[in-house]
Amino acid sequence: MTPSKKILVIDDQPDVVDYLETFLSDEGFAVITAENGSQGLSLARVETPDLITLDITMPEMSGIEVLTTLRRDPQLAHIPVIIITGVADFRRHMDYREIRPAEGFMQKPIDPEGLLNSIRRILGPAA
Amino acid sequence: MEEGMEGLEKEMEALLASQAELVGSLTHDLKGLLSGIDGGIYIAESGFKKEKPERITRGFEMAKRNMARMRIILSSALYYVKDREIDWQPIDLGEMTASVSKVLMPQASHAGVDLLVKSEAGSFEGGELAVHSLLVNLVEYSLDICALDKENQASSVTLSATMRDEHAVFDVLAQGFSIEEETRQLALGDFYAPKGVDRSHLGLFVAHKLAKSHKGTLSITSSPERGTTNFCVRLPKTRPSDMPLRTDSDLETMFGDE
Repeated sequence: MTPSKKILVIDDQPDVVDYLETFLSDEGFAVITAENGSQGLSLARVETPDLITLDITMPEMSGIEVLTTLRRDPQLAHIPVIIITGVADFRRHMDYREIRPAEGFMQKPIDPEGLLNSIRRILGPAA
Repeated sequence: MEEGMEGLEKEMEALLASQAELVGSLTHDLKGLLSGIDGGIYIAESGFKKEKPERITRGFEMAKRNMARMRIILSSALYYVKDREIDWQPIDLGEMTASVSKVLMPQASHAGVDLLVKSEAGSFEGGELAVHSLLVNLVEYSLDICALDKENQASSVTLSATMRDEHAVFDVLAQGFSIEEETRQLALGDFYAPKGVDRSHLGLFVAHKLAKSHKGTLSITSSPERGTTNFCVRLPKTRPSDMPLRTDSDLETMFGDE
């Protein structure tokens, strides 16, 4: 039996984390969660997820800082990232000349089917 | 006259910039809450489909919680964008504090923060909805910030009410955080200005505005050493007879020398 793909959800809003964890688990993924950027990075190093969903607006360490750290860490740089954010113009906060952009972008409120399609596009249809 | 025009122009620019910031901040917050409502509905529905009663309860609680927060945010926004005539009527201290507590107890429970209410007997004149919104904003902000500090097991918010010196005095004492001076100044400023991407303090700004609309005051004191913040609202016991209405007379005063 093919092991489930592992997804790390990073978001400071507990209800959003609960939603994504429940939905993605129902769709057959193994889900781990983090409520802030630092915790997310630590979990990513330990668990090596197949994909990360990442909020932008978080206290202490923003999603942009998390993404930058991920891309610059040889152990983590290969992990695809989908940004899920309520910030309308978040792309202007990023400098693509420095780091590889995220593999997916989604606006809140979350479109679950859209998220699923993005995940399967990135991880392959068998995910 | 040119100086007056320049001053008015700068004021308008600042107001427009503030409004733009407000819209951006509100949009962001509302998107998060909509996600919470959608999430609650999904979890409840999946609970029915998979026959998991725990999910049904959890899902409905999530949806209700986020809808309640959305109501608070939208109410704040409405009070911010438009001055409203106060519907003056007698307000009982105990009934008001009980009502505020009822609205926010689910959020407090979910956040793991104790919400306590203490009220002495007494009444005053004011706009019931406005005062309710004022207090809800202060308590909700305090609950939110206390909840962010998960390591602080002793966090609590106490809403107390008393009559003192011909004023209704409400105190919201938060044990679990100290407010930054910048946030305090922004909350008590003339225009709303979000602070970076940090938690919106629109609620504090609106609370201050509502206190002023009653010819009352909002003061904020904080102790980093003790990790406490107190919001103190003082509202006149009776409707001030000389309270000015917001009219075109403000513009007449500015150009009075012409």
